[in-house]
Amino acid sequence: MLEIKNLNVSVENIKILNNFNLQIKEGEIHAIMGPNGTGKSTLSNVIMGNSRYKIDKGEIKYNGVKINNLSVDERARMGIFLSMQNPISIEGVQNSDFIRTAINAKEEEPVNLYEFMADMMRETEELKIPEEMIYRSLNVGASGGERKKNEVLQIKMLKPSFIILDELDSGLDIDSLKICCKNIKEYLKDHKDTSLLIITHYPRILEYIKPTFVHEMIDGTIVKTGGMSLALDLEKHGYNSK
Amino acid sequence: MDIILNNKDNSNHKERIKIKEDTNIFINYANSNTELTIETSPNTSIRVLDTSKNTKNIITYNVDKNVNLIINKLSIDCSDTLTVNIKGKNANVNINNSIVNYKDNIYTEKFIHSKEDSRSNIVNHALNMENSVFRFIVDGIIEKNSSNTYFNQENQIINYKDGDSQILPNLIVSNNDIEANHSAYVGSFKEDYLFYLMTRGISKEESIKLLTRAFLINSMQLKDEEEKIFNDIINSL
Repeated sequence: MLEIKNLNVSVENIKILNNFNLQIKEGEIHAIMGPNGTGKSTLSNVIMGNSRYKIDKGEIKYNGVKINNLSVDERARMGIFLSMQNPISIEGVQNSDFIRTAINAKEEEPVNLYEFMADMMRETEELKIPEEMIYRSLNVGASGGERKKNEVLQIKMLKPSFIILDELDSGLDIDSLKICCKNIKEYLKDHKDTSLLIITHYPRILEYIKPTFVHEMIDGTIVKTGGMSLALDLEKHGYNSK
Repeated sequence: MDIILNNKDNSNHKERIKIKEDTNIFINYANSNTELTIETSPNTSIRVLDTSKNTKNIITYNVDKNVNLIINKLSIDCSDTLTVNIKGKNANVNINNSIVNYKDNIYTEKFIHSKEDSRSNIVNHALNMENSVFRFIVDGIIEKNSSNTYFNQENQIINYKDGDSQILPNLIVSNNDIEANHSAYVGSFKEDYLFYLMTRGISKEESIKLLTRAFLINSMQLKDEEEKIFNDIINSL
């Protein structure tokens, strides 16, 4: 599904990713853990195509297609979804209008309004999001927890095939984290081919969504790969301890 | 009562209107240099919808006591001069001006509070679409007899290209017992906004459309039929 080979990325001439390699197959759940500033969020932005990050070398393939030069929206329409660490708010862009526009951008036929609203109502209830948030401007006046839930709402509505969760657990209370993880797990259960890349500092989220592989990332590259035990080991002993 | 003002037969004319009851005014001038004066009567509500194009109008509102004046304007290429004389106690003025600019234009506004206990809230938004000149010159004048007055002006210009845009948000205050605010922003749509929308599969063009609509009419409390008129204008840009 996702294949990253020898990826070198710089931001303002500072090298962030250094010969980074990663392969994620259909249905796999990968977690990347690492200290601050090691390039985890850079990785998620580069996969998504953020133009602030320059690929110096290497390639990213998604379902066999090299996506290095594709635009952000093209990658999203291929099925890649980035759940942001700090979801922004946009005054005046109504949440439901925005999500409907995003669905319509992906589909050949415009989504039926009645079915769309019924889906939105059901999913907001599942996520315990206040109903009025559907009609509010995107994330305006929303708490950190509501913003993260809104990201998960978008996952459920847009139905991506590859999801990056960039620090979903940051700024999220334990109850909201449980709700978000429960909804993501349900989504994965219904979409077995969907893969997940979890970027996190803490193993707590991995207790709710069990990873297939855990990677330790230091200085822009993966230095160790293991299972859940690696995540627990990293929490106990810190990064790059052995 | 409803009043429709346009200049189908005459591009340069003077008009003076006296409002005696609650009134909706629809202004739709095109290519005009009209001088329009609107006199209000006490205790009336006036709601104005302005969709003029390519105008150099001089428009004056004289606002009496207990008058509620709401103006929602979405205009293309506008060099109007708007003066609002707030002459009555407890007058309440809400103005949302959104301008889409293609040529060189200067939009000038003057709000003069000359009685106590009055309020005005002004939101000026412009999209400068080309490499043109656009100016908002906004004077808030609060005279000595205007205790307990509130005046707020919020101004923004978004440059689509490399337009020469400028805002002069002036406050001239002669009374200490008032609240007055002004703000100004000139720039482009934030890259973060575009990136976020595009990460959901929305094309850059469609993302800009969403942001444009939000920028132009979000601050307005529009009725359904008014929103439809403004949406039609935005969709035609």
